[in-house]
Amino acid sequence: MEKGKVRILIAKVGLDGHDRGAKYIAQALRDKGYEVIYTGIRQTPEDIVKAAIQEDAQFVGLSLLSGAHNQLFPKVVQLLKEKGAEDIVVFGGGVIPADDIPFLKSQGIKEIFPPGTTIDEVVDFIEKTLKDAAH
Amino acid sequence: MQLIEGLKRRDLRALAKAISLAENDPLKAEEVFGEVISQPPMSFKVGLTGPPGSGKSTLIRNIVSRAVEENMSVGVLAVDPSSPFSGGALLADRLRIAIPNLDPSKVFIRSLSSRGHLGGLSPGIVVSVKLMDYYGFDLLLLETVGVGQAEVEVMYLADLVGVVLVPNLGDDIQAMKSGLMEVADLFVVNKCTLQGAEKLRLELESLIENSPRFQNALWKPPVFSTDALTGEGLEELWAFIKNSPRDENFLKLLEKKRKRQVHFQIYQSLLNYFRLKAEDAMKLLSLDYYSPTVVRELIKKILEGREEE
Amino acid sequence: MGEKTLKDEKERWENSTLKNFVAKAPERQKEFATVSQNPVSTLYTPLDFEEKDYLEKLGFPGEYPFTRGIYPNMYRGRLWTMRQYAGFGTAEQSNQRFKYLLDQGQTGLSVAFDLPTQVGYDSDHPLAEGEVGKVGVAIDSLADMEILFEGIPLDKVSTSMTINAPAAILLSMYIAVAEKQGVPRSELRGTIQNDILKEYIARGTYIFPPKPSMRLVVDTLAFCAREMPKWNPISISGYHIREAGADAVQEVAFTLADAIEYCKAAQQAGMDIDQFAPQLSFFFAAHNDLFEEVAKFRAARRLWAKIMKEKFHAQDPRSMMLRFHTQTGGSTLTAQQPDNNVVRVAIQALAAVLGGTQSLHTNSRDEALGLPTEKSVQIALRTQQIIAYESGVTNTVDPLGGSYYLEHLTDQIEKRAQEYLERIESMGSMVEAIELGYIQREIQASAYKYQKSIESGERIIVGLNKFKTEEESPQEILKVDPRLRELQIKRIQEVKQKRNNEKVNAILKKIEDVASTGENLVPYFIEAVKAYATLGEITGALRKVFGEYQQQVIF
Repeated sequence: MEKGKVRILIAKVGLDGHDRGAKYIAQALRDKGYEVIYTGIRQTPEDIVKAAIQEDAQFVGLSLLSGAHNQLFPKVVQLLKEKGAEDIVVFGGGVIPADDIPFLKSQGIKEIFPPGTTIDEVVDFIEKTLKDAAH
Repeated sequence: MQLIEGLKRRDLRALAKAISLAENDPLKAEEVFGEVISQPPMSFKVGLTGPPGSGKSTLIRNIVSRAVEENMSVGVLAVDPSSPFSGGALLADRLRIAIPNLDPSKVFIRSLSSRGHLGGLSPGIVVSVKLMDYYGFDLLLLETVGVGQAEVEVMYLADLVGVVLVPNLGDDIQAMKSGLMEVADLFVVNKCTLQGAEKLRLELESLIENSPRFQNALWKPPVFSTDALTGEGLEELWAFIKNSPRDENFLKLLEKKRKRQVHFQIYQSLLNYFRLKAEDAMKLLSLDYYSPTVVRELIKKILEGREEE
Repeated sequence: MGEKTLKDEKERWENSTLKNFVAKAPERQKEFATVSQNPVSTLYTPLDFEEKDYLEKLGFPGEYPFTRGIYPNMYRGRLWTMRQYAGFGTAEQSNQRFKYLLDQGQTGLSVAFDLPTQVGYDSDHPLAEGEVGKVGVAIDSLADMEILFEGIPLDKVSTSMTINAPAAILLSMYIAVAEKQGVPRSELRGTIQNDILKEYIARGTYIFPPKPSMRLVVDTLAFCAREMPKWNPISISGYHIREAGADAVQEVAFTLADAIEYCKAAQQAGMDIDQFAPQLSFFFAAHNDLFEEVAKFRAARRLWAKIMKEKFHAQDPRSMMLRFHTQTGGSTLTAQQPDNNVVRVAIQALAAVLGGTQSLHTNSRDEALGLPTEKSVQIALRTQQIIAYESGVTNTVDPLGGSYYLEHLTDQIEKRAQEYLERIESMGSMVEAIELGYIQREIQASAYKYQKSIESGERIIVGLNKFKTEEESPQEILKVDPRLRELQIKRIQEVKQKRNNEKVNAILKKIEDVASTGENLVPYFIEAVKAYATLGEITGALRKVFGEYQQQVIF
């Protein structure tokens, strides 16, 4: 039996409906062999945490283009912690100014992918995180 | 083991992780969860199958919200095919099923991929269903894409199988119809406001009348016309699903079905075992021609290997 | 005779001069195509466009089929309206930005609303967390709208509002503010986007299911036809379809398919085509493939004129005129080397002008990074002004018309868009094609292919996957104060305290009742906003009757 598949939840947090990037990442990760659960748009941090736990995702990828990332991304991390699921790795993408990245990382978001990120960069991040976790 | 303790405590994260183990390694999961999955079935299990785009997820969402309104707890397993090229999968049923702000202990949704299994359901599905069953939802819903074998397998997993169709699917449905007669306990003509819905309903009714399976049978599948957007027919469908466990004729049918379910569970478990062995055997094989003698030797080796364990 | 000679001569040239040359110096690519996969040949000649087609396909500007433009002399008379989309934070902040832009020579206002406003939630709704004032201005009640347009004479400016699901309610607020200024609604000029179908396909800020949403659109069309002759009650938008990843052909096809659906709905509601069609307006994107984009605008104009004449039997030539606003393509901007975006925007803006746009928004260079700064907005506006006053392209009508390549592309795009329209019609209607997920799948497939071609390096994006530079100095970015939500919530509380709550409850109940009948809702919205009912309360009443839309994503 092949070893466990990596499951990744891709979620649009907040109210913006721009899902082109999130859908692309979801499709491209599928094509790289991952199991991707796509939640669709307008998800609250609570919905996302619930989904991440039920789906037993190892990663949660958040996409947001409206500028609400400083409020909403940390909230997802915090709620995961409250549910005892802080082992789930959270990363984010979208229109996120470089200035905000240090703050987001300090709040427990493991990586931020700005516009122009390639799928290979995301895959490298996932594989490296898995490798580090195995050690 | 921690997971089994968690399951007994009805911890949702433990259930989620247990299902992952079942999907990743069904044999191991059987070993670990032997105690809980040998319990007799508790939940009423309803399977919905049908071609892509027939609106199964939206129907399930409606059933979930009605069940929750009546204070039932619901578990959902939604299975989608994996990519034949990468082995990965993109599971998007959840977004059509999930209802925001519902108590997670009342509604548990899990998306599964077929993991390359030709039958359309994953090799671990039997154990996953058993785990959900053990957790004890009042209602367990199983969604599968009805192409190929999946619709056949779902009848070994679910107590009540609904086949969902929509008008104008073309020739594929014509070819599928006789197979569908074998699995369906009820039919749903969804998106019934579309043209051709009434025609499809009549066709199904006539097929049911003429199907050998239902001659003199206690149970004839009803046909429901629904539209998830307008809500048409959903009340009737839900009432039927909800009441069937109390229907005398259905209970007689269910007795037979549950026996078939046990057979399938054992059969699937055996298949998983031998498939694993076959895969291991293939890894060591360096033949570039086909020889029945070699195959027989391999089988012998596999069986001997079993005894060594 | 002449044609035959040209054909022979072209063959000769291909087989000798060109062939020999390419044999020695191979071409950069095996095949060339536009961004939207229209094949491109080495050379176009009169063989690709025959003069005898001229009258039928091109005609004269200001006349059917309007290929060359909707006005006889185009920009020799009036230039296009320079309209920068703006709005952020509180109504006070946006009001200041509007005044700044008008000072800078902008000729129309364009209001961006924040996401809670766009999906009909007040700022105190739990889902509004983090979003208040972010992508536009927060409007909860008439009190905010009054501040937004304070000191701006609404009889002098034309105002475009990017609002869809609750468009009729925001229009009602605009009418109420104008009437307080003493400007009657019949004098108001501007546009509400009000294009709900593309929200299901591409943009995602829907509230209600398609059917009641279409009813709201039709109510607005009927109201404006009756009471607001200078207002555009809808701006049928290809822009967001393109931004979601569609190519140029799909942009034209799906936008016109939406437009057809609106026309059918209005006709079913008993309106005559010539009664509302002159008020329809369109909104397209402008991307980098210059000739393809110019061809796209021309093809859209010609195709729409034909549809109106042949399918809807419109009599009034104004019904056949495709009037459109253009915005340069946000998705073409790169976060890397953001100053390069100034050049992209210039090319795209030029395409829009050469394509005969009626109004134009040029993106700011820093929009891939966040909200644009005042400086960036100024450069964007200056770009339009340079094209208008320095480039000379405004001196004649459709200056690229007659280019063999352009005419060939125009034909191609029209043909391929027409094929899409036929396929959609065979599915019953655009609403059904959307419900089946067909449109979404087509767009996703294009988006996926495009992105793959960038990641593989097959398509070059300067500064992104080639000609990269190492470190870049961080850009100055406009930030919205996160405490803004508290301010908005406080204002809602004040409004609710001051108003006559009995009156509000009565009108909200009335709206619920009217929603379940066929009566036009707009007059009741006006009454409600004047009583200071909040946007969330009004959409709440509608939600009770109409229900909410559940997203359908099919991969």
